Amino acid sequence: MIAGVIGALERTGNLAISWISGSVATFILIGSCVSWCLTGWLYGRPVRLSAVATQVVETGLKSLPLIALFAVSIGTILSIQIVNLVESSDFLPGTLAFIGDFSIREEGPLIAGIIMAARIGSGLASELSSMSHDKEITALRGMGIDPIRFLVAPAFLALLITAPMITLLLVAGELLTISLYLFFAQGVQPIFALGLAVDGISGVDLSVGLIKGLCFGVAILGVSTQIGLNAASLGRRTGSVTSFAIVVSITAVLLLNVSISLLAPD
Amino acid sequence: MTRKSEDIVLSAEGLGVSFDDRVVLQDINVNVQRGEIFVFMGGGACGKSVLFQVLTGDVAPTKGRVKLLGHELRDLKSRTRSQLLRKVGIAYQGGALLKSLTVLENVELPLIEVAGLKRRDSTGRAKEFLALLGLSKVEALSPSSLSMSEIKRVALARALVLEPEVLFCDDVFSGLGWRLQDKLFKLLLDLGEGKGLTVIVFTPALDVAFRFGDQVAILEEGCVIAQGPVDEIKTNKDERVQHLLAPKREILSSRRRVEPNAMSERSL
Repeated sequence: MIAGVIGALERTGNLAISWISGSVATFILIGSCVSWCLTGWLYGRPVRLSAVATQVVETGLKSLPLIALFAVSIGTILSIQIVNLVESSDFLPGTLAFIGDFSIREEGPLIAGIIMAARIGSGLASELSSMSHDKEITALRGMGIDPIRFLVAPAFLALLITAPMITLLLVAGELLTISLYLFFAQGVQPIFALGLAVDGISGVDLSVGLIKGLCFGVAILGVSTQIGLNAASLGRRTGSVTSFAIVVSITAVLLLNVSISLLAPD
Repeated sequence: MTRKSEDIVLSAEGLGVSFDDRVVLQDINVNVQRGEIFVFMGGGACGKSVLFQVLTGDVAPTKGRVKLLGHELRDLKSRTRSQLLRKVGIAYQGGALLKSLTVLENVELPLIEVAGLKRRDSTGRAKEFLALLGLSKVEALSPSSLSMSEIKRVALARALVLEPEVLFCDDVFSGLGWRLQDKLFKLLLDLGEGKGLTVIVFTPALDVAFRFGDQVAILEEGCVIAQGPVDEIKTNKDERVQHLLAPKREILSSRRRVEPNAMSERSL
């Protein structure tokens, strides 16, 4: 009994230590990315712009179909609820303003974070893990090439652009879907419905939403890179690395979401 | 004979590596002189790969110290390390080529990213090395579509393209066939002629060690059990060495050396 309790405590302690050390390593990795982006050119080793462009396509443009799918499906679900609510309360302007505010501030960034974790985080973790197993990372280090500058910093710079864009496009797609649904279901003019929803979005709401998207993107990159690069030393296979990266990325997104929501001004 | 310290390109003193309680390497002492081909030879699980990782600075030793080209690896700051690595070429077991790049781009990589050449300058140089290694026809291919012999030669081209002072080869020559091995070593001797290229080979193949090595160190269970010129190793009375050499007598008797001859054969 006592041995079981001690064992459980030990496992919990080890888990806490690994989470803390993993978090610290992720912060250091993100710091290293920032450092390479800002000072790499001083040492004649700038982050490769061609690689940044490739990553913008990979993380941004190739995510568009998934974003569209999520936007239409969530927009439709919200529209059904709005129609039910308006039929009982007849309060369309307030409802749409609330939906606009809620979408850009809370729901949009969170869904964007989950999309990024599933698509970008898993891709990054599996690629780095496979490179780590095949000693490609070791070979880069052996040539004096920092893998963070060569492989991760381009994705970091790309995500600074694409992560807020993904959030914005998702919310825009949702509001557009709601407007069109209301037109076909209730005859409400789409421009009028869209205007009501956008009226509910303040500058602060927009900033909070975009900052959340940016923070989620950077956190997902840090977590996935950390897991992918250490795959070989942890003895994890690529499949297990990918699912682990998704779980940890989504956990990081949820924790960050709550933290930013609590700290952000109304 | 006492060697001048500047002639020693790599030295390991009292080197030991342990993972948790498991001792992988113990008390390794070696000096590699400039211009020689030094072969670490040993069977499976003898500590060869870990020693390769330690000597190339990828794994820190638990005990002892490693000096490469006058720099102690343990104390290196990242900038000095980068500068040092410009003088070192490493050909990894299995190639470790970047699969997202073509063969040509893999060989160009150190020229662009380490030497800072523009692509228009790096392409010609990379193509020259690929031609030397008989790989011109595969330069546009992905590494995943190459044979193991081609992968090993591309790895060698990438390691040599910056004209390093020291070349580490992890199991690059075994399984290639004697004719190709001869040609590759001839190429290395040609490239190193006058520049003092030092080649450090890690191999499980006794024939590679005895046909091409100037100095050979035999590893067993994490220890160097014999070390010296090939002729000394052949006559070593240590029971473990004799046991290792016993099935390979025919190789010892057919030892051939390749001599450098100024690039007469431009491609393999």
